[in-house]
Formats: sequence, C-alpha cells, structure tokens
Amino acid sequence: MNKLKGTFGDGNDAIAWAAQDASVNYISHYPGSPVNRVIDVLEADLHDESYIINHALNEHIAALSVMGTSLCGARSLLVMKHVGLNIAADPLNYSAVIKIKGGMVVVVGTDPGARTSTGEEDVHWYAAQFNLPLLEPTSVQNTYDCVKQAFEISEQTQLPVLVFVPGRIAYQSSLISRQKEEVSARSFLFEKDPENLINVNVRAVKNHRKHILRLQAFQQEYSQSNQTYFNPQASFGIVTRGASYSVCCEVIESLGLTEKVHLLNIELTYPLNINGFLVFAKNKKKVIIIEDQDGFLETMIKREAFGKVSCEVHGKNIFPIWGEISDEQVRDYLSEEFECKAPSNTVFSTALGQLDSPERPGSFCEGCPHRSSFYGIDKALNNQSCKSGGVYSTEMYSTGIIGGDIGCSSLPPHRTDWLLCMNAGIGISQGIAHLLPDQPLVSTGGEGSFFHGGVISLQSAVENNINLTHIIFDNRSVAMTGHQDSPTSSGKTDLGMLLKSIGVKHIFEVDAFVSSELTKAIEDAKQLEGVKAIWVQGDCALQPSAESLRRYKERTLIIHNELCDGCSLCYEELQCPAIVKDKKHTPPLLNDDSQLDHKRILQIDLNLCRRCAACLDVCPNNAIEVIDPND
Amino acid sequence: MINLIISGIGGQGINSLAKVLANVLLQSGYHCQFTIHKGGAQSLGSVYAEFRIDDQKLPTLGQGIPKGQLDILISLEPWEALRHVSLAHPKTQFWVETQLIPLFIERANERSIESPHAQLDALPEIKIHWESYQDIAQQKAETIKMANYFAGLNCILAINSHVNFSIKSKPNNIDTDLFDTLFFKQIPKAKKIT
Repeated sequence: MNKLKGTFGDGNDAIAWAAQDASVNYISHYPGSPVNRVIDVLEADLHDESYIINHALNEHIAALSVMGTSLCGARSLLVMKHVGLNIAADPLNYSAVIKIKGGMVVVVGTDPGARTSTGEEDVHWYAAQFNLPLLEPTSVQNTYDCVKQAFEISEQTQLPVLVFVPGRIAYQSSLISRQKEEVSARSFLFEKDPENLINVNVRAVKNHRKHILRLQAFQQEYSQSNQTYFNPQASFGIVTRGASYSVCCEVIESLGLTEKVHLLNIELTYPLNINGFLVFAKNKKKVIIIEDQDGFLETMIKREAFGKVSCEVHGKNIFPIWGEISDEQVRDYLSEEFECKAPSNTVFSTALGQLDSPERPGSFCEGCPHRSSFYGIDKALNNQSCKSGGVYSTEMYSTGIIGGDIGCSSLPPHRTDWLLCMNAGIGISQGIAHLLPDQPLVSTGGEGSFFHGGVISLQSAVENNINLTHIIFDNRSVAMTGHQDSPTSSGKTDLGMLLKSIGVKHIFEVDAFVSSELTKAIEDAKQLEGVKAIWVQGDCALQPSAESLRRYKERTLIIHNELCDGCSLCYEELQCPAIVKDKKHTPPLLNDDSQLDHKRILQIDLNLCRRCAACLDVCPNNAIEVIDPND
Repeated sequence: MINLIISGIGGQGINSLAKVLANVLLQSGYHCQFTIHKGGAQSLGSVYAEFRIDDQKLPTLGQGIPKGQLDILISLEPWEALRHVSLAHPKTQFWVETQLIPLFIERANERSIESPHAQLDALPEIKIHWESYQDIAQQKAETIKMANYFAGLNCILAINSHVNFSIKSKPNNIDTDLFDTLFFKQIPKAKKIT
C-alpha cells in the first residue's frame, strides 16, 4: 500500500503556508469569510516564526499598516474579504505610486455565489482601478504557488500584487506540497523618499506615469501565466481563469471533447499580456471565455485584442454575470455546441429535481445572546416579525424599524429591516431618524462592527443632534468569522467611557439574557432626546466565560408542562432551538403529528440547552424553572 | 472514482469528520480532494462536505459533484439528505439519520412542508438505509455530539463496499481501526465510546 505524502490543507492553509514559506515579516488583516482562517493558521505557528501579526480594526487600517511595513523593506501580507476591499480601496489607490520596498501581497477572498457574504460584488475592477497586478489561482496548490510568486513579482515591480481566492478554492482541501524559500534575513529601515511619498500636484502626475510604466514593462515581459491544455489543433477554444478552470477541465473530459477543444487558462488577468491569447486564437474559428461574474477577463481580452484576431469571441452573451459558473452551465453549453448526449445518470437526476427541501441558512446558536435581544426589541417596538419565522410578511413593515448591521446579529430569522454592509445599522438609521424624527426606530450592530466604523458614525449622529437609539450587542467576540478578539474582550477599551467621551448622554447597560431589561431600556430611551446607546452585554455562546461554563455544568432547566398553557412564546417567538416538542410525542417516521395540533407539549432538550435561561424571562406562566445549586 | 457527500447541519461535526476521513483515505492509499460547504452562521445552517476519491491520481476536477454522479450520501439529518438527491443515480447509497432537526420556518408554518422521510422513501429505485446515529451516540458515548463518529464508520463501510464496482484496481479495504485512531487523535475533545 502506498502512503501518499504531503499535507492536507484548504485554500486558507495554502495562503498562510505560502506566506510562511516566502518568509513573510508582517501580516495585517480584517477577518472575513472565505479567508477567515488564514490568520488562525499563521497565529498558531507564531512561536516558531518571526513574523508580526496586526489584527486591524478595519481593512483601511490594515492596508495602511502593511504599506508602512513594506516601505521599511518587510515582506508584508494583507488579507481581507471582497467587501473589505471597498474599505481598503482609498489607501490601495496610493499603494502603487509609493514604490514599496518589501514584497506586498494583498490576498482577497472573493465570493461568487455569495456563499458567506451579503453580496457577490465583483472586485476585479479594482485591479484596473488600482493598476496593480492580479493573480488568480485555479486550485489549492496553485493558491500556494501564486501567493509565493506574488511576493517575488511585488519586489521585482515595486508594486503590491493582488491574489483573488474565491470561496470554492478557499474551502477546498487537497494535498499541498510546500517548499521553503531561502530568503536572507532582512534589516528594516524607513528611508525618507519625498519624491514618491509626497504625492501631490505635478509630482502626483509624474508618479502616476512612473507607476504605469513599471506596470507596462511587467506586462510585456511576464508571459508565463498562460497555460494551454487539450488539442492545440482544435478550432474551438475556451479561455478561462480562477475557479472556472477546473470546472471546464472536468466537463471537457467527461463529455469526451479533449480532441475537439483547446483550453487556455490565464493566471495573470491584470495587466493582461495579450500575446499568449493571440497565439492561441490564431487557428480558432470560435473562442468562448468562461469565467465567474462580470466578464472582467472578456473585457480585458477584447480591449487588448481588438482588431488583432479574426475568430468569433463570446463570453457573457452566453453565460450569466451573476452567481458561480456551474458544471451544469458549461456542460449544457458544450453538449449543445458539439451535439453530445447527456449521460443517462443526468436524466435520472433531472426526474428527482422536484423535491422539496427548504433552505436552512443557519441561525443564532443555542445560548446566543442575540436571540433574546431581538425578542426584547420586537416587544419594545411591538413588532410581530419574529412570528413569521423568517418568512417576510407585509405586517412586518407597519411597525417599528430595526436598523441592521452585519455579523451574527444579522443571522436568520433576519429580524432587522436591512442586511447590507458593515455599519449600515447606525448609518442608514441616522438618515431615517434625521428625516422622520417620530418614526419608532432603533439601530443595531455588534461591538465588532461598532469598532470597525460605528464609533465615528455614532459621533456623527451626536454632532448632528439626531434623535437615535443605538443598540450595541457586545458579545465580546467577533463571532461570525471565527471568534477573533474584539476591543471589549481584550479589555483594552472601556466601551462605556468611549461612548461618554464622544458625547452620548444616555447610556443603558442591560443583560442580554433578560429580554425585558432591553425592552424597558428602549422604552425609556424613547422618552429622551438625542443619541442614546444601549450596551447589551452577554457572551457569545461559543466563547463562554468561566461563569457560563459553570452554569452549563451545574444548572438544569425544565418546563413544567402542567403550568404551560401552550402560548408558544418560547418555541415560536423566542425560537430557541433547545426548546423542542416532546420527542415521545413525535412519531419518528410518519408525517402524522395531528395529535399535536391543539396542544403543544414542549420540553427543553438538555443536550442542546446552554443554560442561558433567556426563556425564563419570556414565559408568562412561570412554567420554566432553573435548578441551580448555587442559587 | 467515488463521489461522496457527508451532510448535516452546523454543529454536528461535519467539518471535523471530513478532515479525519481525508487522512484515513490518504493513509489507506487513496487520492482525494474535498470541499466544505457552509454558510456564514456558526451553527444550525446546512453544511456538507463533498469528496472526490480515487485509487489513482485525480484528474483536474471542479468543486461540485456533477448531477447524476453522487455515489454515496451519508447524512446526519433527513432534510439535509433530501437536499442532495438531485445529484443521485439509481445505484447511489443513502445512509440517513432518522432524527429530524426542525427547520425554523416550520415552527410557525408547520403544515406547508412535506416530511423528508416520506419524500426520501418515495424515491424511485433508491433504497434509503435509515440510521440512528444520534441514538447510538447517546447510548455509547452519552452524547449525541458523537453521531458524526458513527456516520464516519458508515462512510468507511460504504466506501469499502463501493470499491468493488467503482474503482478498477481495488486497493486494500479501509481499516475501521485506523478511522477510530485518527478520529480521537484529530478531535481531542471527542468522547470515548464505551
């Protein structure tokens, strides 16, 4: 039996290991899926390595800090998700003109298909806006290779290099072979360089020109990024990039088209060296460009190859610009083009396509502080949204507005009125509150989001005398992206003092697990003028404090069914997953639970319950009892 | 090649099981790549791991199992089995946990959804192996959290029975002891089986 060598790793591991093997000196990041684990991997090895990690409070700061270290000669890595690039865009627009010294690599986790994001924004256009080289890996191993290579290109061109890693590569695992590069030890020094760093007026234009010339020189000499596969004599060509490459390969092989198709993968998609494409297209009648989303590569090819090729070139006139390019889309297109039959198995599965399995997008964990917080908010605003259980109904919009942010608090059943970008809670709410002062409204957001940009937004509301109640869910963790520390869990920032010092006059502190406290605070805040902050405190259920752990071990919760009148507030409105219908009364395999139609028999599943006791405050009949030996 | 999916919901240990299984396959002489699909939530959302396995070097493969090419489905929850049925073919092996984990929309709107059990049992040509991973875990390890261990054992069983007609040069059967060893080595907090 052959034992295979190598280490299993996913795209996140590949990025981290490549940085280590390229002797990275400094890393800064803001956590975000799908590249949220990169820093965990780097941090776990911190004791063996000599790099420094900066856990920046937003992407803007992260980008600027790596520009600083790169100017000192350090190999620097910047990691964030696609939407983070919007926040980092301002500094990155300057990153090319400053003639960095140490290799600077910007790894961006992209999300075609919006698997783990509020949007599938195509950030490719930033490469053309920043005028920075962009590498797009096709696999996990290739991600490792690209990140390492990016450090070299960056030092050679004195330009930061972008590497885009889509979700489907970031979460894919395969064997990764590593090779540590021999990089001599560096000494770091900031050299004053007004020519490039005081970028204003005539000098700004001159530096812009120098930057473009550096980029163009690189574009001309770097041709190794084009790889071709299958039959070079074929008159039908496919051009692809990134994650679409492997989809194309699998479909071409499985349809038996290896003799009929010639495939070109382009790794450096900006700036595009068109020579590889021109050679490829010479003997083609038809070329199809297959890529996720907007058609960035197609645009670049058409721009550079205009008037230089005679074949047909298609792309987004065939494939959609939204979502991920799927196996099915490519298969359907090629089977029609080459008139090949779909395999019989596919016919069988098409017959199965009508089954009903509703989306299960996740929710607050058992013991999550957000569950009872939203229950308290809904009560204060007299909303019924929770009852719809994630299904939107018109009644939801007739009462109070709940401004929503991003993070775990935005999870289903989506009790806020919008789920867009970071800081949209305070931001959009203050516009509405400014315009409609009598509209019942609260804005919400976690403490991670508050420190990301919310502080300034709230201060802005103070400066403008806006009548706004903002609720900060302080669960002492940036939970959604993997429980990174927040300024309240590190203990370095006193949130109460911060709020006071930016001019928030009324600050309420409430216990997240007692929803009536929050309801009362919102009602009290309504009577007061100006900016009010409600600081809701309750630890993330997955990052329990010592006291939470003690309660978990020692407490028991029970529902006294003889006291329960079946009002179902805990089950349907609080929606705690640990409150379940009595299993004894649920037939295991049948679709017949008619006996439960009139009276619900509820119990607490102690396998699931985290003993937060949020249900206690919700029950109007005192039917829930907490048995705690310490009480 | 064998295409396998392990599905369930966040918190059931699909991710950890997938990592154990990958190493078991590796040490048993198989080549594999796998992808974890999960949403943004820390728990209670759909999660699945998708494996492509062969006894020789894998060709370049996309990140999704194509329709009609799923060979084995191990699911820790019936809705999550139903979700992947459109990838199946008539010989797909289905191993499915009986115990249902409610969908939240069901709490306010129960009658609108047909039971996944009935839908699965009604599938033409496909026989479902109904399993009680949660109950077995509760009995043998005193926690349903260990259901992923018993689902993992079923993965090994399914792969071993599948190689007979799926992979040309049959490698050695995967040893369940190796799975056991790696499971407890890679997941230190896993509770021992009595």
